[in-house]
Amino acid sequence: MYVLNPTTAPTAARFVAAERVRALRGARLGLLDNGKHNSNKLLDHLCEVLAEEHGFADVRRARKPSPFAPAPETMLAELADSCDVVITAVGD
Amino acid sequence: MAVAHGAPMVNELSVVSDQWPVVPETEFQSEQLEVVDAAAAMELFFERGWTDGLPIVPPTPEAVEAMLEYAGRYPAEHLGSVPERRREVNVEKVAINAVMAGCLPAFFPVVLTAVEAILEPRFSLVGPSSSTAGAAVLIVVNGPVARELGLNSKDNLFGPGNRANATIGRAVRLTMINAMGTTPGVFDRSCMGHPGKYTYCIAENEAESPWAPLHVDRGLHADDSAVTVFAAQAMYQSNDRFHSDAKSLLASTALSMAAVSSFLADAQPEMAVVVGYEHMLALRESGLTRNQIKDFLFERARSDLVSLKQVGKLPGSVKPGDEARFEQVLDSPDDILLIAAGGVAGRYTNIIPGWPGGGSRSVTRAIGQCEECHI
Repeated sequence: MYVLNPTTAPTAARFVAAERVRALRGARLGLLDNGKHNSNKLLDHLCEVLAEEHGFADVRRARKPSPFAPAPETMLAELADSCDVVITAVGD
Repeated sequence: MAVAHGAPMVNELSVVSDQWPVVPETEFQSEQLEVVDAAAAMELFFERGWTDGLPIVPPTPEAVEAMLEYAGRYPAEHLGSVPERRREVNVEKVAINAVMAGCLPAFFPVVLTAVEAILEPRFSLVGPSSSTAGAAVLIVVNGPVARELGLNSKDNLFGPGNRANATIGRAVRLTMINAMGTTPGVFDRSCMGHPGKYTYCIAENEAESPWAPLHVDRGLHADDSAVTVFAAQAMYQSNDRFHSDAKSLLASTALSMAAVSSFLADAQPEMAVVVGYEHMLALRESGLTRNQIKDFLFERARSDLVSLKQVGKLPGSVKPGDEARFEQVLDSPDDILLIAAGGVAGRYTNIIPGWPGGGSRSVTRAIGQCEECHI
């Protein structure tokens, strides 16, 4: 007898990875907070540690309206335009 | 494509009315696996992680085709996406999982509607189905279809024994596990989980309720058949054995609501209040309307800040005056899903808090609802 497979597989995502920056010194840093409790503290601490070692030209912060939905396209576009590297983090 | 109403009775399984659209001999997109027999199929599905931990009914092409024929739906029809998990859900996959759950073909339109409902943006599936808080999907079926399918709205309401209640809820969960990426331990990271994740499906006691049923409260007609889905935590069985007047019963219900609420500061979820039969009779005698009941519960369901801080539901230390400051359980009386259901003996009302993550709202969808036709 035959039975049917009940599962779906993830559809292949097509994206081109951004070019990596050669050095963090002088880069414009973006911090994307996913909206969870304490995300901001984690990101602030990371920023402090990295800034001490490398030094950034600028730091931008953004916070998702909800941890459970994707970041709005406008938010992502703004970060992509104004930053060379972005760190995104969860908290809790 | 709309589904015709007035489906044949459940025991007329072999009847495929000539009213139904003719579905051509099905070419399934899904992989077909050869097995020796049904027992081997059941073991295979356990090995592959395709079950909820219980044995499944082997989804043969014939059984899946029976689901599709009954509902008059094409297997390739796209129902929706879970973009965060890059999953696309079609009718075929839901039909396979409905067979596995043990559904009769007559149940399939209900299952499809529930799946369509949880895929609506308003339900915001990813949060409740993946977070550590671990919600299930409460399914409430209203209208003629509930009676036609023999869905249980009374004794042993949330318990075992009724095929429709058990398998409709199970079909939705299996579809979530297998076709939507809600795999336990992978994307489903519930800490505790709860038994509603096996099945959590009821009908409302519309015949005896003094209030308009849930789907009518939400804008549909009484003779529409509808499904409401709600991202729901485990329930608390509130047992008021001594009060017989409406106001006292509602006050004790409100206390129970406060005891089980998450009290999130910025995202209060909804709450279902399933009024048991004996409590429903007392409320019916009072003449209180549905809106009056909801208003009363909304106002009374609250807790003082001292209590909330002491149990860690609110941050910070207790300050002078906190005993006289209150947080409401809900943002609005409209956040209460008031449902009359439960067995005839026993003085209970069940409180079902919504998923505490914020952003997920219950969805009511008519069976046969057509997005393009707006009917």
